[in-house]
Amino acid sequence: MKNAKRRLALGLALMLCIGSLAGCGKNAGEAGNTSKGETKNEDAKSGSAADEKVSEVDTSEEVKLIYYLWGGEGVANQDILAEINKKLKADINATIEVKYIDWGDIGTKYPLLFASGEEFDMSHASPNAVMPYGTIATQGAAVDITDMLDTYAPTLKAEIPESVWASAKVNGRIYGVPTLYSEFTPSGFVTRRDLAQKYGVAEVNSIETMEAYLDAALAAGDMVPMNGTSAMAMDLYRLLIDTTGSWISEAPGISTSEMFLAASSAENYADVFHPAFTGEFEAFAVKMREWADKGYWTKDVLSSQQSAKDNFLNGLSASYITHMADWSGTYGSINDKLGVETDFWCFAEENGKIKRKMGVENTTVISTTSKHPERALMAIEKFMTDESYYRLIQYGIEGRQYEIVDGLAKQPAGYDPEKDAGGFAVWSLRNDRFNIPYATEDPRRYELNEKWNKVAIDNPYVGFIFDPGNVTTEIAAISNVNAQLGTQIMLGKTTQDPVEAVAEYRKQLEQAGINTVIEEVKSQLADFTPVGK
Amino acid sequence: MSVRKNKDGFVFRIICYLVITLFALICLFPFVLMIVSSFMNEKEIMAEGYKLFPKELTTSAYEFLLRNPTKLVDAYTVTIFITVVGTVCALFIMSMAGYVLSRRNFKYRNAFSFFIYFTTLFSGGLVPSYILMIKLGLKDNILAMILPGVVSAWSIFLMKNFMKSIPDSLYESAAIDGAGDFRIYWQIFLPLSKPSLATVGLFSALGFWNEWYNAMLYIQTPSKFPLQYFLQKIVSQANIQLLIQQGAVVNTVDLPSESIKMATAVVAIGPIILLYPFVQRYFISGLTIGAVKG
Amino acid sequence: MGKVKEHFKSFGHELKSNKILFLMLLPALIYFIVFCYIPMPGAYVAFVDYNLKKGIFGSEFIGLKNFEFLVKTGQLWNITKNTLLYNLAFLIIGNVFQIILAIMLSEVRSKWYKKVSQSVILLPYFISMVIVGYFAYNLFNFDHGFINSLLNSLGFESHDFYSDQGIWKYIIVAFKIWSGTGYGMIVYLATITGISNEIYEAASLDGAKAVQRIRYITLPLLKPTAVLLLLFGLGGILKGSFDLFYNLIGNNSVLYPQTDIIDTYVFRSLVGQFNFSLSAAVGFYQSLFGLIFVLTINCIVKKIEPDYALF
Repeated sequence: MKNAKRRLALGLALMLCIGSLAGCGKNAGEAGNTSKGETKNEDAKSGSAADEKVSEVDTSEEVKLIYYLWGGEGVANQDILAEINKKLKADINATIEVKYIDWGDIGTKYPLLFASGEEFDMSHASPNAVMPYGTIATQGAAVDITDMLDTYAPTLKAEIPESVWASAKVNGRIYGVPTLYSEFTPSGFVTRRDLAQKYGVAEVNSIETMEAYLDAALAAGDMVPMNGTSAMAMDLYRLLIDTTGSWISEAPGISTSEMFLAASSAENYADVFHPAFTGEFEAFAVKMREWADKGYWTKDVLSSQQSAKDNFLNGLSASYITHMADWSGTYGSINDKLGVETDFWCFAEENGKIKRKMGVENTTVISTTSKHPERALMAIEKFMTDESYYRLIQYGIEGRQYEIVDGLAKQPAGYDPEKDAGGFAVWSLRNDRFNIPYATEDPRRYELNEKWNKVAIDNPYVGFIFDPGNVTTEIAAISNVNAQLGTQIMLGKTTQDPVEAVAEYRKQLEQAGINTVIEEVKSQLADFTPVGK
Repeated sequence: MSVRKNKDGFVFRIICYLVITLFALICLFPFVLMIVSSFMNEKEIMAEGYKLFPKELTTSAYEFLLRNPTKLVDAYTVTIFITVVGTVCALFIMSMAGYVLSRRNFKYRNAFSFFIYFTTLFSGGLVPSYILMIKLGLKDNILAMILPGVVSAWSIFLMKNFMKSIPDSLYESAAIDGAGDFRIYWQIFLPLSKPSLATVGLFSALGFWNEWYNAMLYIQTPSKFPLQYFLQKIVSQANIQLLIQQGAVVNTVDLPSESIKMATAVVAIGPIILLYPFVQRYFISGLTIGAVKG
Repeated sequence: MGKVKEHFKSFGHELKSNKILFLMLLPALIYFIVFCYIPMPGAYVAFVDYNLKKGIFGSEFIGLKNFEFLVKTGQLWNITKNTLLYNLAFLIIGNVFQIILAIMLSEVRSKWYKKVSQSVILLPYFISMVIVGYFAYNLFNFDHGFINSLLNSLGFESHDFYSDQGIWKYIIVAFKIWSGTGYGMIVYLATITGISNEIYEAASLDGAKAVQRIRYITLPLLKPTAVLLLLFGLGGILKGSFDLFYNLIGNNSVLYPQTDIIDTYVFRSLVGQFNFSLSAAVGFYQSLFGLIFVLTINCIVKKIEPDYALF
């Protein structure tokens, strides 16, 4: 279905931030204590601390685990998997079969996976996925692993800090294994250094300098300053939220793919509101209309088909808005296609609002339909705590898919995409400790990561999963309002004058039930205390 | 054929030619555009959109599509198989059903007609159908691509409608001769229904040819992918590959994703449009001459 | 009770006397029972608060609550009206076009011309709506669009199609006709082919001109087919065509008041959350409306000409 393709585009943008995998589920009683019967030794190669506990675990029965991942099957995947299974069989007497849900099919097949009661063992999950982690957890589709960790994955339990475990908790129980990869994905404005020099703009680090750059691009006339699709509305929305005071973006309640709620500050995380009702929003709407009228983006932006990123990469746009991980990951392509240097102005940096990503954004869940949840957990532990496993599943076979040169991973000389292309979309199994940067990533990514690690604030909502059950109607209605008037306002394309349009938008939001949703969020937040407080 | 005077309706015929030609051109133009675009250079598409007269021509999109010919051949084989098998079964089942529903002596034909039509109105949705197919053991089974589409209410009604127009006298004379319903159907009605069989057959074949949804839901073995699904995956791979490579070793090959979309469409349409001329002869000449006399 | 028994008896009797007919109908019936009627109770999900583990029938019944979101933004009337009008336009104008072209094609003499033009006219059916969307954008966009370039070169000003609310209903209907005529006219061609040539011969011997032939023979003989196709289409009067609208209009909300249909509206509403029950509720609404519509019209047709009715 074509609509799935659009969802895919949305999903991808999110996936680059790597949504968390939410795997929550009621403990169906299958997990845990069934296999404590015999005590048999297994040849464990992992850390010695685990050896004592491991001897309590029975791995006499050979088990085949089914692991659902997103993406397609690369030509070399079977080979990589064979290598992995050799080790896995020796270590925990299990083998893995990966099943794939291709990008375009996620919208349909991923929810079906849980709704149809299909038998499988592990799956990728995320609060931003079309079937969110929270739902999977609260509706009993993921195994409650809280009590299993000590017995079956003690190394893993120790490896992942308590604060990260907390992010995967739903009602105090853990339903999935969060990722250990620190990523910062705040939004920002990408500019071309060569153009900036040409236009005489020193550095873009504020809305004023951004305007200067765009004005100059407009005057130069050879390309559209910010050429993109209606998706830019969300980019501009993030620009507003991130640069305004201490507003915390992405407060729970409304999906982050549309105009979401905000909180007034990290301390006042419970003071949730919709930015549309503020004066700052009104002023911004007026500015966006100015920008549209000036011609920063095309007249037909609402119907335009080529994404902002594609336009930028092909020299049809002087800038685009994206998040840091995407920008730094596209480094290789930018070099190849444009041969220029780019700069990134992070919106949230100035007001110190860069949030740490919650580990739960990419989680691995164990399905309640699994017959071997303990073994699945042990396999997950291997992938995240044992470097040899880590490298296989994340990078492939050394020498064939990658080689390490100067501490960077790159394609080996004999690499043939027809035979060697492969890889798994296992962001949920990443671990900072073992991560090897790619040669095609912008090295600034790691510099920025380090820099921001020092100043970043914790996401106050770590560990809070909003249950939309009582307000599904309102949310659906609000989605519509956001898609129509909301998007138009952000792109300055309203038929009315912007101030009137904002008034109308507020009215429509109220009619749709925004206050009900906010009340619901607040009441659920009342029982919640952020981690570390 | 008929004895129509040449001068009769001359002006009218000219109008016919004109109108049809005009409409045909409007239909042809985008298709030609698609074919030409599939040979276009990716950069030119990005910068200037699809054109009829591009500055450069390249076969890189087709090279990308055909670089794995065994897989493509597999996909074609699967699709041809399900199209042929599916269409034959469909024709048989549906022409019988249409025949039964057209018999005026069949007392419950209206009730059954409604029974069949109702299924086009209400549906249980994806989840129950999915669970049913799995329970029927059709997961990763080629039949999953044939069975759900083998009967169509619309085609049954078409057959019923057409068979109603076959004169009753034919039925009666055969019945008097002692023929049972099935024989009458098989020996008299079927041969006379060639145009509608061709119609329903064509529609069925088109449906099976375009099959991808059931494949997406139920088929996992790549060698069982039908053509449309296979091509779709290539297109999404071309678009996504660079992004996926965020997490794997990056392949910065310039993928001609825009022209691939066009090439995909051309490759998908190709064969079936060639089927049409074969079937057309059933729509062109009348086959009922002399039937009533016989 | 007595009446029911009578019905069963007469059904049993009919079964025996027309055994062969039942057997011939059986495969199709089995198909519908297995693939349509068995899953059909799943439509109940429209009335529950769907829970993954509890399944469709274990989930809590909440009556009409799932239908609320349709009403909440006050757009229900507008999208229903749009869907209804567009579908009626597609159905009626589409069929008229198909009939006209089919008749014209059958009047034309040259065989190769017929074959070629038929094939060409069928081509748009194969072009996916995604590609149609791209082409439309290439045609209509303000800066580089084909039409605007043409207008400019003729000295006219560019027209902002994507903000023009009034013009899209024509554009959409035109695209639908372009896309569906080749496929739809096949049925009419087949029907015309089935008309015995002797009738035409007799008519021309009587001195009838071409136009008269068409008016008094072809058209009336096409009537049953046309009525069938129209009636059949009525059941889906609130459904369908999502691909067309989604790819042509997309996220251009400026055009929504005139071009938003139920399916696109629902798609947008649910993009922020995945909810089986909500989409099932909409489906139910569409189905129910279609059912009532069809039953009514079918009843009317039955009174006028019982043979033309669907059932």
